Amino acid sequence: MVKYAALLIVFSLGACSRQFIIKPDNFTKPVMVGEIRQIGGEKQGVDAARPYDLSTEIDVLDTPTASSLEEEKKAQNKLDHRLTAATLVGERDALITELKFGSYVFFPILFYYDKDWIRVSGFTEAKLLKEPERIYNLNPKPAMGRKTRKDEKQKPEKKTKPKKEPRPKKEPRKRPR
Amino acid sequence: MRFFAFALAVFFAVGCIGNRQTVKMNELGYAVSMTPQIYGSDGKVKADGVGLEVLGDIEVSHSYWSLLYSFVPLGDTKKQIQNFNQTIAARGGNGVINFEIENEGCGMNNFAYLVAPAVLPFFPGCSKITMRGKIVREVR
Repeated sequence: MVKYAALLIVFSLGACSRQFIIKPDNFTKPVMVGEIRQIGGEKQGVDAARPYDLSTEIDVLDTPTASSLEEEKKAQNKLDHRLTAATLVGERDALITELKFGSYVFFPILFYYDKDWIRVSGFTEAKLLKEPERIYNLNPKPAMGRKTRKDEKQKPEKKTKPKKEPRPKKEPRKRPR
Repeated sequence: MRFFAFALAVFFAVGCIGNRQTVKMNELGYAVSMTPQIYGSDGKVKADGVGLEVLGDIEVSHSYWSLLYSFVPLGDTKKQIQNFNQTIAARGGNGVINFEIENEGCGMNNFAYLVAPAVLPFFPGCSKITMRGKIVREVR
Protein backbone atom coordinates (compact mmCIF):
# COMPACT_ATOMS: atom_id res chain seq x y z
CA MET A 1 0.00 0.00 0.00
CA VAL A 2 2.82 2.37 0.90
CA LYS A 3 4.53 1.55 -2.39
CA TYR A 4 1.42 2.46 -4.38
CA ALA A 5 1.06 5.72 -2.45
CA ALA A 6 4.71 6.57 -3.12
CA LEU A 7 4.27 5.82 -6.83
CA LEU A 8 1.16 7.99 -6.94
CA ILE A 9 3.05 10.89 -5.37
CA VAL A 10 5.91 10.46 -7.81
CA PHE A 11 3.61 10.45 -10.85
CA SER A 12 1.53 13.37 -9.63
CA LEU A 13 4.63 15.46 -8.98
CA GLY A 14 6.07 14.52 -12.34
CA ALA A 15 2.89 15.72 -14.03
CA CYS A 16 3.17 19.12 -12.34
CA SER A 17 5.72 20.34 -14.87
CA ARG A 18 3.84 21.43 -17.95
CA GLN A 19 5.55 22.55 -21.11
CA PHE A 20 4.60 25.75 -22.88
CA ILE A 21 5.56 27.37 -26.15
CA ILE A 22 6.50 30.87 -27.21
CA LYS A 23 5.63 31.83 -30.79
CA PRO A 24 3.74 34.57 -32.58
CA ASP A 25 0.20 33.50 -33.51
CA ASN A 26 -1.21 36.26 -35.66
CA PHE A 27 1.82 38.31 -36.68
CA THR A 28 2.12 38.24 -40.47
CA LYS A 29 5.59 39.71 -41.07
CA PRO A 30 8.90 37.81 -40.91
CA VAL A 31 10.39 37.73 -37.38
CA MET A 32 13.97 36.68 -37.95
CA VAL A 33 15.98 34.87 -35.27
CA GLY A 34 19.74 35.34 -35.13
CA GLU A 35 21.86 37.66 -37.21
CA ILE A 36 20.94 36.41 -40.68
CA ARG A 37 18.13 38.44 -42.16
CA GLN A 38 17.38 36.59 -45.40
CA ILE A 39 17.89 33.20 -47.05
CA GLY A 40 21.50 32.92 -48.18
CA GLY A 41 22.37 36.19 -46.44
CA GLU A 42 25.43 36.88 -44.35
CA LYS A 43 25.54 37.56 -40.63
CA GLN A 44 25.05 41.17 -39.74
CA GLY A 45 26.76 41.85 -36.46
CA VAL A 46 24.73 43.58 -33.78
CA ASP A 47 26.32 46.04 -31.38
CA ALA A 48 26.44 44.16 -28.07
CA ALA A 49 26.26 47.37 -26.04
CA ARG A 50 23.05 48.44 -27.71
CA PRO A 51 20.05 48.07 -25.41
CA TYR A 52 17.30 45.73 -26.55
CA ASP A 53 14.31 47.54 -27.93
CA LEU A 54 12.21 44.41 -28.07
CA SER A 55 11.87 42.12 -25.08
CA THR A 56 9.01 39.93 -23.93
CA GLU A 57 8.70 37.38 -21.20
CA ILE A 58 6.08 34.70 -21.10
CA ASP A 59 5.66 32.58 -18.01
CA VAL A 60 3.29 29.98 -16.68
CA LEU A 61 2.68 29.56 -13.02
CA ASP A 62 1.23 26.69 -11.03
CA THR A 63 0.06 27.33 -7.50
CA PRO A 64 -2.52 25.57 -5.34
CA THR A 65 -5.07 28.23 -6.31
CA ALA A 66 -4.21 28.88 -9.97
CA SER A 67 -3.28 26.41 -12.64
CA SER A 68 -0.92 27.07 -15.51
CA LEU A 69 -3.81 26.65 -17.97
CA GLU A 70 -5.20 30.03 -16.89
CA GLU A 71 -1.75 31.59 -17.09
CA GLU A 72 -1.19 30.24 -20.57
CA LYS A 73 -4.39 31.82 -21.84
CA LYS A 74 -3.30 35.20 -20.48
CA ALA A 75 0.12 34.97 -22.10
CA GLN A 76 -1.10 33.63 -25.44
CA ASN A 77 -1.04 36.85 -27.45
CA LYS A 78 1.56 38.73 -25.45
CA LEU A 79 4.35 38.23 -28.00
CA ASP A 80 2.06 39.28 -30.87
CA HIS A 81 1.12 42.50 -29.12
CA ARG A 82 4.74 43.28 -28.28
CA LEU A 83 5.91 42.60 -31.84
CA THR A 84 3.16 44.75 -33.30
CA ALA A 85 4.07 47.65 -31.03
CA ALA A 86 7.85 47.33 -31.44
CA THR A 87 7.73 47.13 -35.23
CA LEU A 88 5.36 50.09 -35.45
CA VAL A 89 2.61 47.90 -36.89
CA GLY A 90 4.95 46.17 -39.32
CA GLU A 91 6.84 49.28 -40.50
CA ARG A 92 10.14 47.87 -39.15
CA ASP A 93 11.69 44.39 -39.02
CA ALA A 94 12.07 42.47 -35.75
CA LEU A 95 15.22 40.46 -34.95
CA ILE A 96 15.39 38.06 -32.00
CA THR A 97 18.97 37.66 -30.79
CA GLU A 98 18.75 36.32 -27.26
CA LEU A 99 16.74 33.66 -25.47
CA LYS A 100 16.52 33.32 -21.71
CA PHE A 101 14.56 30.67 -19.91
CA GLY A 102 14.19 29.07 -16.55
CA SER A 103 12.17 26.82 -14.28
CA TYR A 104 11.65 27.24 -10.57
CA VAL A 105 9.95 25.05 -8.02
CA PHE A 106 9.22 26.37 -4.57
CA PHE A 107 7.80 23.56 -2.53
CA PRO A 108 7.73 23.82 1.23
CA ILE A 109 5.29 21.69 3.17
CA LEU A 110 2.01 23.53 2.62
CA PHE A 111 2.74 25.67 -0.39
CA TYR A 112 3.50 24.85 -3.97
CA TYR A 113 4.79 27.26 -6.59
CA ASP A 114 6.07 26.16 -9.98
CA LYS A 115 7.11 28.76 -12.50
CA ASP A 116 8.47 28.22 -16.00
CA TRP A 117 9.39 31.20 -18.13
CA ILE A 118 10.92 32.17 -21.48
CA ARG A 119 12.14 35.63 -22.45
CA VAL A 120 13.04 36.61 -25.99
CA SER A 121 14.95 39.82 -26.65
CA GLY A 122 16.09 41.56 -29.78
CA PHE A 123 16.05 44.63 -31.92
CA THR A 124 14.05 46.31 -34.59
CA GLU A 125 15.72 47.46 -37.78
CA ALA A 126 14.73 49.34 -40.90
CA LYS A 127 12.81 47.14 -43.29
CA LEU A 128 14.81 44.89 -45.58
CA LEU A 129 12.22 45.14 -48.30
CA LYS A 130 11.07 48.63 -49.11
CA GLU A 131 7.63 48.59 -50.56
CA PRO A 132 7.08 50.88 -53.51
CA GLU A 133 5.48 54.17 -52.61
CA ARG A 134 1.79 54.41 -53.14
CA ILE A 135 0.36 57.68 -54.36
CA TYR A 136 -3.12 58.54 -53.28
CA ASN A 137 -4.82 61.33 -55.20
CA LEU A 138 -7.00 62.88 -52.53
CA ASN A 139 -8.15 65.85 -54.65
CA PRO A 140 -9.17 64.40 -57.94
CA LYS A 141 -10.04 66.91 -60.61
CA PRO A 142 -13.72 66.95 -61.38
CA ALA A 143 -15.05 66.16 -64.73
CA MET A 144 -14.79 68.88 -67.33
CA GLY A 145 -16.84 71.93 -66.58
CA ARG A 146 -18.88 70.45 -63.73
CA LYS A 147 -18.89 71.48 -60.09
CA THR A 148 -16.38 74.27 -60.51
CA ARG A 149 -16.61 77.67 -59.03
CA LYS A 150 -18.13 80.37 -61.03
CA ASP A 151 -14.91 82.32 -61.39
CA GLU A 152 -12.98 79.24 -62.34
CA LYS A 153 -15.51 78.19 -64.83
CA GLN A 154 -13.96 77.78 -68.13
CA LYS A 155 -15.82 79.08 -71.00
CA PRO A 156 -16.59 76.39 -73.42
CA GLU A 157 -14.91 76.92 -76.63
CA LYS A 158 -17.17 78.23 -79.32
CA LYS A 159 -17.86 75.78 -81.86
CA THR A 160 -16.85 77.19 -85.15
CA LYS A 161 -18.71 75.90 -88.03
CA PRO A 162 -16.57 74.91 -90.89
CA LYS A 163 -16.82 77.43 -93.60
CA LYS A 164 -18.78 76.26 -96.44
CA GLU A 165 -17.07 76.41 -99.64
CA PRO A 166 -18.94 78.56 -102.11
CA ARG A 167 -20.88 76.56 -104.50
CA PRO A 168 -19.63 76.76 -107.96
CA LYS A 169 -21.82 79.05 -109.99
CA LYS A 170 -24.00 77.36 -112.33
CA GLU A 171 -23.50 78.23 -115.86
CA PRO A 172 -26.61 79.75 -117.40
CA ARG A 173 -28.38 77.42 -119.60
CA LYS A 174 -28.22 78.26 -123.14
CA ARG A 175 -31.55 78.37 -124.85
CA PRO A 176 -31.61 76.57 -128.01
CA ARG A 177 -32.30 78.90 -130.79
CA MET B 1 23.56 29.02 17.93
CA ARG B 2 20.24 27.22 17.82
CA PHE B 3 18.68 30.23 16.14
CA PHE B 4 21.28 30.23 13.39
CA ALA B 5 20.89 26.52 12.87
CA PHE B 6 17.13 26.97 12.67
CA ALA B 7 17.49 29.89 10.24
CA LEU B 8 19.87 27.86 8.09
CA ALA B 9 17.45 24.95 8.07
CA VAL B 10 14.59 27.23 7.08
CA PHE B 11 16.72 28.81 4.34
CA PHE B 12 17.54 25.42 2.86
CA ALA B 13 13.98 24.18 3.26
CA VAL B 14 12.15 27.09 1.66
CA GLY B 15 14.67 27.94 -1.04
CA CYS B 16 13.55 27.14 -4.50
CA ILE B 17 15.17 24.78 -6.92
CA GLY B 18 15.39 25.38 -10.61
CA ASN B 19 17.39 26.44 -13.57
CA ARG B 20 18.14 29.62 -15.48
CA GLN B 21 20.10 29.93 -18.72
CA THR B 22 20.82 32.35 -21.55
CA VAL B 23 21.23 31.23 -25.16
CA LYS B 24 22.66 33.62 -27.74
CA MET B 25 20.96 33.05 -31.08
CA ASN B 26 23.74 34.65 -33.14
CA GLU B 27 25.29 31.20 -33.62
CA LEU B 28 22.48 30.29 -36.03
CA GLY B 29 23.97 29.75 -39.48
CA TYR B 30 20.72 29.89 -41.45
CA ALA B 31 17.83 32.28 -41.89
CA VAL B 32 15.21 31.41 -39.28
CA SER B 33 11.82 33.06 -38.92
CA MET B 34 9.24 32.72 -36.15
CA THR B 35 6.35 33.27 -38.58
CA PRO B 36 5.37 31.42 -41.80
CA GLN B 37 6.98 34.26 -43.79
CA ILE B 38 10.71 34.68 -44.44
CA TYR B 39 12.90 36.94 -46.57
CA GLY B 40 14.18 35.19 -49.69
CA SER B 41 17.60 35.67 -51.25
CA ASP B 42 16.16 38.44 -53.43
CA GLY B 43 14.91 40.30 -50.36
CA LYS B 44 11.25 39.56 -51.08
CA VAL B 45 8.91 37.96 -48.54
CA LYS B 46 8.31 34.28 -49.23
CA ALA B 47 6.16 31.56 -47.68
CA ASP B 48 5.27 27.91 -48.17
CA GLY B 49 4.08 27.54 -51.76
CA VAL B 50 5.14 31.07 -52.65
CA GLY B 51 8.82 30.71 -53.47
CA LEU B 52 9.44 28.12 -50.72
CA GLU B 53 9.26 24.36 -50.53
CA VAL B 54 8.91 22.67 -47.13
CA LEU B 55 11.38 19.79 -46.73
CA GLY B 56 10.21 18.62 -43.32
CA ASP B 57 10.07 19.35 -39.61
CA ILE B 58 12.98 20.04 -37.33
CA GLU B 59 13.02 19.48 -33.57
CA VAL B 60 16.11 19.80 -31.41
CA SER B 61 15.84 19.31 -27.64
CA HIS B 62 18.39 19.91 -24.95
CA SER B 63 18.31 19.70 -21.15
CA TYR B 64 20.05 22.48 -19.25
CA TRP B 65 21.24 22.20 -15.65
CA SER B 66 22.34 24.58 -12.95
CA LEU B 67 23.39 24.52 -9.29
CA LEU B 68 22.97 26.79 -6.24
CA TYR B 69 19.39 27.86 -6.88
CA SER B 70 20.15 28.36 -10.59
CA PHE B 71 22.99 30.85 -9.96
CA VAL B 72 25.62 28.51 -11.43
CA PRO B 73 24.60 27.37 -14.92
CA LEU B 74 26.21 24.18 -16.18
CA GLY B 75 26.93 22.98 -19.68
CA ASP B 76 27.41 24.58 -23.05
CA THR B 77 24.49 26.56 -24.47
CA LYS B 78 26.01 26.62 -27.96
CA LYS B 79 25.58 22.87 -28.40
CA GLN B 80 21.87 23.02 -29.15
CA ILE B 81 22.31 25.75 -31.78
CA GLN B 82 25.11 23.75 -33.40
CA ASN B 83 22.85 20.70 -33.57
CA PHE B 84 20.14 22.87 -35.10
CA ASN B 85 22.54 24.10 -37.80
CA GLN B 86 23.76 20.58 -38.54
CA THR B 87 20.22 19.25 -38.93
CA ILE B 88 19.33 21.95 -41.46
CA ALA B 89 22.53 21.29 -43.39
CA ALA B 90 21.91 17.53 -43.41
CA ARG B 91 18.43 18.04 -44.89
CA GLY B 92 19.72 20.44 -47.55
CA GLY B 93 17.57 23.32 -46.36
CA ASN B 94 18.05 27.05 -46.86
CA GLY B 95 16.21 28.21 -43.77
CA VAL B 96 13.51 27.54 -41.17
CA ILE B 97 10.02 28.98 -40.81
CA ASN B 98 7.46 28.63 -37.97
CA PHE B 99 10.28 28.57 -35.44
CA GLU B 100 9.04 28.11 -31.87
CA ILE B 101 10.60 27.51 -28.47
CA GLU B 102 9.19 25.21 -25.81
CA ASN B 103 10.21 25.21 -22.16
CA GLU B 104 9.50 22.30 -19.86
CA GLY B 105 10.69 22.09 -16.28
CA CYS B 106 12.12 18.66 -15.57
CA GLY B 107 10.01 16.49 -13.29
CA MET B 108 13.10 15.92 -11.21
CA ASN B 109 12.86 19.46 -9.83
CA ASN B 110 9.77 18.40 -7.90
CA PHE B 111 11.52 15.47 -6.23
CA ALA B 112 14.43 17.44 -4.84
CA TYR B 113 12.55 18.24 -1.64
CA LEU B 114 11.65 14.63 -1.12
CA VAL B 115 14.93 13.04 -2.11
CA ALA B 116 17.62 15.43 -0.97
CA PRO B 117 16.40 18.33 1.16
CA ALA B 118 19.70 18.51 3.04
CA VAL B 119 21.74 19.18 -0.09
CA LEU B 120 19.19 21.35 -1.84
CA PRO B 121 21.59 24.07 -3.07
CA PHE B 122 23.75 21.43 -4.69
CA PHE B 123 20.87 19.53 -6.22
CA PRO B 124 20.93 20.33 -9.96
CA GLY B 125 17.87 22.13 -11.27
CA CYS B 126 16.88 21.30 -14.78
CA SER B 127 14.76 22.52 -17.69
CA LYS B 128 14.32 21.09 -21.14
CA ILE B 129 14.26 23.43 -24.14
CA THR B 130 12.92 22.31 -27.49
CA MET B 131 13.40 24.31 -30.71
CA ARG B 132 10.98 23.44 -33.51
CA GLY B 133 10.25 24.59 -37.01
CA LYS B 134 9.87 23.65 -40.66
CA ILE B 135 12.95 23.36 -42.86
CA VAL B 136 12.45 25.12 -46.19
CA ARG B 137 14.24 25.40 -49.49
CA GLU B 138 13.95 28.31 -51.85
CA VAL B 139 12.32 27.55 -55.19
CA ARG B 140 13.01 29.75 -58.20
